[in-house]
Amino acid sequence: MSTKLSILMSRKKLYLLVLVALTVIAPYILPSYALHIVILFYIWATIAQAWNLLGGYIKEVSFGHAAFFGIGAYAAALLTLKPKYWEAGLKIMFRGIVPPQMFILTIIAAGIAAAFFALIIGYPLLLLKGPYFTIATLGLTTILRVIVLDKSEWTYGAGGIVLPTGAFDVSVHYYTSLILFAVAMFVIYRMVTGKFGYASRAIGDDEISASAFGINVMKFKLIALVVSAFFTGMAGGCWAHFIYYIHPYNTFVDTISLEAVVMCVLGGIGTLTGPLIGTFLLIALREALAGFLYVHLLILAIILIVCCIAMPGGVSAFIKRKLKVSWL
Amino acid sequence: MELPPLPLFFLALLEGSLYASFAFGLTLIFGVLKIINIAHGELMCIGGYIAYWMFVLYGLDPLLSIPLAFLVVFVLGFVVQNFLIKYVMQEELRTLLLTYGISLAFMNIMLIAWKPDYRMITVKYAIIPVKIFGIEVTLTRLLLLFVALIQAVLLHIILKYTYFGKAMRGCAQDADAAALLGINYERISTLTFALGSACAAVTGVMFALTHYLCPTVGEALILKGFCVVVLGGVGSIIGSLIGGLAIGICESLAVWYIGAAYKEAIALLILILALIARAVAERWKVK
Repeated sequence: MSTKLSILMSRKKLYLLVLVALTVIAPYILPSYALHIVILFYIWATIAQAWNLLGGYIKEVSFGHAAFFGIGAYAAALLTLKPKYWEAGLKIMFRGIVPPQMFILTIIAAGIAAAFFALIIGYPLLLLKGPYFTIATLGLTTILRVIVLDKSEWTYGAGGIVLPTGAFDVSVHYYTSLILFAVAMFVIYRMVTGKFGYASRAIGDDEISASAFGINVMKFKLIALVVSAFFTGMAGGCWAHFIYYIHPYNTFVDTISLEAVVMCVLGGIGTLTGPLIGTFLLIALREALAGFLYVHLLILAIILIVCCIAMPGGVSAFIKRKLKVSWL
Repeated sequence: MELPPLPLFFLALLEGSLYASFAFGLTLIFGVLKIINIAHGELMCIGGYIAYWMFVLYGLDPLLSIPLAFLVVFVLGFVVQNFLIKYVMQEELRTLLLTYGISLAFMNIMLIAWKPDYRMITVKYAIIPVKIFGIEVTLTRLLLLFVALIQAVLLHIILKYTYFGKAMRGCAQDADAAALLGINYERISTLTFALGSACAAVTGVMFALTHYLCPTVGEALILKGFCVVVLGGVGSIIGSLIGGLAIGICESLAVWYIGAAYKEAIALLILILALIARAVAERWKVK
């Protein structure tokens, strides 16, 4: 029995090793179209996983993650275009040489900007509960879009920003998004299997009894929101460098918030694998239906409706129940 | 600082009456069913399109097609509540996502069927100016205010003096107690949803007459609708009327003082501030 188990374990490890090796060498073996989709998968899986932290575990549904996404995208873009704000510091650090790979720093700055924004609005916003929280977050994206459109002397307004980093090789973007995805998965895995996970599940089930057990509800909600915003902002920055053209109508739009929600609901909220499955399915669907205008969104809506009524646990719960796969 | 001219206030009132009229159905549904109906804007749009096609195909006056739009969307709301929303009403998250899904589905069906073109109902009397207190407004905008007022009065009468209205108010206060007293909560909630949707359809007809029509217009209005509901108090028709007019005036003042770019954002800002003020007040009460 023990040898059998150890073989099984080693086989599992082997699979994992092959998977890691494949993800590392993917830019050399995959065609560029497939690589494009894999990069989008990493970015969107990060966003979905981040949304899940607040929406899946604590069960405060946010329809405003496009706000964090847009802040991240704009922070990364503006820091790349106007390096005079921070290049001086870099030059001191790296003795006068600013290597082009430093665009990664703008992505980190994007995450910090989004997290900072979440920290400012977090406390008043999280006083709201349930549907009221959702309505308030629904308004955030529009408010920010209006500001970005109006303050064109800072943000280039409706014309948008073209980034020079688009000229980089696809493999650069691939490894950036892979690292982002891996870091996000690791951090969120550690969070939900630790103290935060227990506390947030308790809050999600019953807030009042959780606080009666001595859980500081506001603290954990704020942590969830800030971490969620941090990774969403980083994903936004990564996305901006990859797509290399951003404007208010492809960053601050409700569709982005909606897709994050649908990915989680489709895959199964409150699980680690759910958002990944949902992201995979949704991106596959989007690519398959790319030629049909509006039909894509209609099918998205129908999936959402069906999932809500018939599959409350999403696809991952469905697989778990039907195929008896325990680790999902 | 220069004071805004008087016509601005008057036009703001007319614009606010649109928001108020839109919020009547929303506040009823929110009050009785305790759900946030994100699909409300699309139901309004459908009402507008019914009036539009009746006008284009048969030359029917939009004011005469109000009853038709009311009936059709009443049935549609009944179907949506009875076959979709009813099954998930216990869970907030799922209802929210479901209504979002329904809204998206309706919007995209309309986009596929009627294209995202901007359409208008151009009746002959649309450009007749009316002079009130020395301020010139178009007749259709004035009709908007009248329709909103009539809607408010009728809904108020229904809520105050009919059995259905009393049952609705009972369910809004305490659904379990109402059920104990022999009120069929399920039937009342379905009828409330249908009635609320039908009220949106009436707004839609007036919107198509005074503004323009395109399938995505509901998306822009829904947040203002929530804003009015939160400001006016959930389940209160008179509150919605006052809240709607207040939002209209606030928006116009924002346009006058800050700039037209911020018109879209100001109602949302008020909404978020009002919500937070409410939450803070509740905390105070608890302490």
